[in-house]
Amino acid sequence: MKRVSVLAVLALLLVSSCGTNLGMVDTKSLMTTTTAVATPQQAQKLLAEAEAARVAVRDSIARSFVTAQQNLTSAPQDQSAIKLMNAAITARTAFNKVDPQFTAAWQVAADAVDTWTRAPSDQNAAVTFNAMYASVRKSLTDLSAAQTGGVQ
Amino acid sequence: MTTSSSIFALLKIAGQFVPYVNIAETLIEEGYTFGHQMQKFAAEQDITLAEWSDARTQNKITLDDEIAKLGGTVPSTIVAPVEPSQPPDPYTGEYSALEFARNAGKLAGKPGDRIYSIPNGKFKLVYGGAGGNVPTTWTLVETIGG
Repeated sequence: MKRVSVLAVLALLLVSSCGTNLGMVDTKSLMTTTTAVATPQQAQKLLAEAEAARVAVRDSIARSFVTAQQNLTSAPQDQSAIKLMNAAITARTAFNKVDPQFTAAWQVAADAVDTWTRAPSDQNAAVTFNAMYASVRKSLTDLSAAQTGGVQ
Repeated sequence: MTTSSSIFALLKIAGQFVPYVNIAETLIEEGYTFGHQMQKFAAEQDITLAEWSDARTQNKITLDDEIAKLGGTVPSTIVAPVEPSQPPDPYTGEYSALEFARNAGKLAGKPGDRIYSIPNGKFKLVYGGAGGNVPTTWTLVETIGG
């Protein structure tokens, strides 16, 4: 029991500390890309990396959630385990709120890239992509924030 | 179709195909770019575009899917069933913001069903049924926006 409690405390510290956590996915480089994307190839790369970042955040939260459940099962009365479970539930809720928005924006942006790829000189396609990618980036920021409970 | 556009056509399915996204993460840790990952995976698996197209019918992998896969218990998000005052567009599944607001949180759903916001101010319902067929029943689990 004591060992479980110690583990729960350690895990809680990991979840509740700042963005330099070991288990926290860093999406900063993608989120700070604010200059307009100039080519369809760059657009493809950015979108692909955004999706990969989403998956990494998703799996990080999932692992934390399962760990919290296991700790709570082992020590149902342990306050640290309860706190960890609550933090995991908050992160899960925040992620599930934002993920559909990310997915929808990503899909529209991907369609825009397809159009742009077929006509690389089409400035309208470039503008459309950049507009949609701003939404993708915003949702990615919110997904990243979900790791610590979401945007307040 | 050029090589890069072929690759991107595959990339678009990434979030809907479990083996790919898992492998992609591993490769990212190894320092590959996402484009490299796709090329590497396609080469290793000898996968065809048609096979990737089949993967489109699979549901997008959600956080709850991943929790369940890891052995966790996913809390139910089903809410009480209520008939909508008007059905969504039977072809697109789109549902007006007004109808969404009226019914938000009151519709029947099951884990895996999602509602998507789309840029034109409407919401798009995505069903758990396979193959993209027009569903006989429609559902909403999570409420967003509105």
